[in-house]
Amino acid sequence: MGASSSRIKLWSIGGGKGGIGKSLVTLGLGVSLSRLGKRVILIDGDLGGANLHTLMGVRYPHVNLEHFLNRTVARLEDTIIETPVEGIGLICGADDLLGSANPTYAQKIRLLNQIEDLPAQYVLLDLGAGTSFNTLDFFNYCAGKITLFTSQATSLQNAYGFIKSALYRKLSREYAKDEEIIQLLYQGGEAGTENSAGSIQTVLDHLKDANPGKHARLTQTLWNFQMFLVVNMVKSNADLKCPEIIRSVCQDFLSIQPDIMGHVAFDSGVEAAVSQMVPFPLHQKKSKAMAGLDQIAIRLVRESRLPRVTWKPAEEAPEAEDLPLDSIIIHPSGS
Amino acid sequence: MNSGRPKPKAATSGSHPLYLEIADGEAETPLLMPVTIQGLSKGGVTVTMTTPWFIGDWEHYRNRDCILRLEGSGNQPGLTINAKISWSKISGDGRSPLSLGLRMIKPPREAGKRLSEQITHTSQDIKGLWERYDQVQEIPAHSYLMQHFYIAVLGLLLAGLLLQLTGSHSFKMLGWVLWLVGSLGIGWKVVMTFRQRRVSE
Repeated sequence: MGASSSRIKLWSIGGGKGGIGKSLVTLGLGVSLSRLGKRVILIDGDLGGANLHTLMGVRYPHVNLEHFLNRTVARLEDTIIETPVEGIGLICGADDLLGSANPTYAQKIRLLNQIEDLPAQYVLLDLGAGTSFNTLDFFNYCAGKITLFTSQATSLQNAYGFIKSALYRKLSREYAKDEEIIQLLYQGGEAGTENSAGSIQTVLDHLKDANPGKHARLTQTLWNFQMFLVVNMVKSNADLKCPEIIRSVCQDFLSIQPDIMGHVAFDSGVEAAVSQMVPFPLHQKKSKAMAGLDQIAIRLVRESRLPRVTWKPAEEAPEAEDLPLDSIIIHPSGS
Repeated sequence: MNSGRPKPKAATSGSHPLYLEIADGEAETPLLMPVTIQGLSKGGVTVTMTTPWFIGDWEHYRNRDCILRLEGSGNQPGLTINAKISWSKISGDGRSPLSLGLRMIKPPREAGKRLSEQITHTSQDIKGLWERYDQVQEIPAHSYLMQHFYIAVLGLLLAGLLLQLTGSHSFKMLGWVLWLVGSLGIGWKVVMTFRQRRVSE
């Protein structure tokens, strides 16, 4: 059993649907982490629709990602804006005036390379809505992935669509040269379903006998696709069931095991804070939403520190191996 | 109502997995037509039929009771679902497939799953997502029960008040008992509400 000791510094917050509170949750998580004494940098990754700075009360950012992408600024670090919140730096998104919403491959690589070197313990990347390749690539690049959604049916649908798109994007890139797997993934649907990408389990089942080597590699890839679920604007106990729905569908059809990271309660005070352009966590002494975010921040720190147990085929694992309780795993292929 | 074209005869089974049965007021035998599921929502089904022309005026059948008959297959038994026709639409020149919107009436528990199995134009995962979503949505049925609970408690309190007004000692005692039971009921509900709120926070 191998263990990677690397800390997760970069976390992305995505979810597919607009208006579910991605930017607000990113901001709230940043504030919670800073209260824990962490140095945090928030990046507005919503290229073309940036407004994280507005939520932080910054109306006229003097520098943003666009300046970095078009090389007006050489280092990403130089685009950090200090904010009223102690311990939080902000990198504002671009406005798409010069095509920044569609950075080139070289621009993306330059950006991602420098994100890793930012002077912070945690970097939170607030992604835009939708499932564009840029959004999915940024999401997949981050070691820590959070999918956010609300209990609304449309949000649930988009969240699942987002996870599926991100996973298929990852698999498409990773197995670009393996025609067999690509064909199985996209055509290996269940019989009678014309429009089906099929269950990944059926692909795994097929490979298990046909090509054990590829089976092991695909299983490892799925295991590496670690993701966390957060439900926002929770109003009732029934809303708390929503992450379980997503997790269950992901397990059954995508063969991945997202973890439920927590929930954020609906808080009417947040809307008032947004209108006043005050960072909402600072708006109220005791916010229902912040209580949930504080819990998620604690979990995030814990997950960042915990070494991730790497997957190993079951038959090779020693029987009496002493695993940390938090790292008990279920084999992604279900076998 | 009918255009004079031949009506399909009542049949008991066939190769088609799904039939729609509509009682025809004029005929002794009901109409039995093969249909295909187009859409499914909680409590509603949209079916299409490719040969709707034997009935000239489908509007006449709006709000008419009907039965969806799902043929058994393998070890699954057949299933009968009572429904009402909510709407009908024929697009184009009237030779296109007819769409019928049906509202299911007290469908059997397995109806949603069995009907979704008949839909072939959607991937299994999306079906799985909505099945699970519908299961969660069943939770509010509890609040419907709570409405009945409130009415019952209110009834107890009112009955207690009326008994107090009768003047009889024994009736007054009974009135106090009803008040006590009603108050305990309200107290229990208040405690449960606070507990639920704490969970969601």
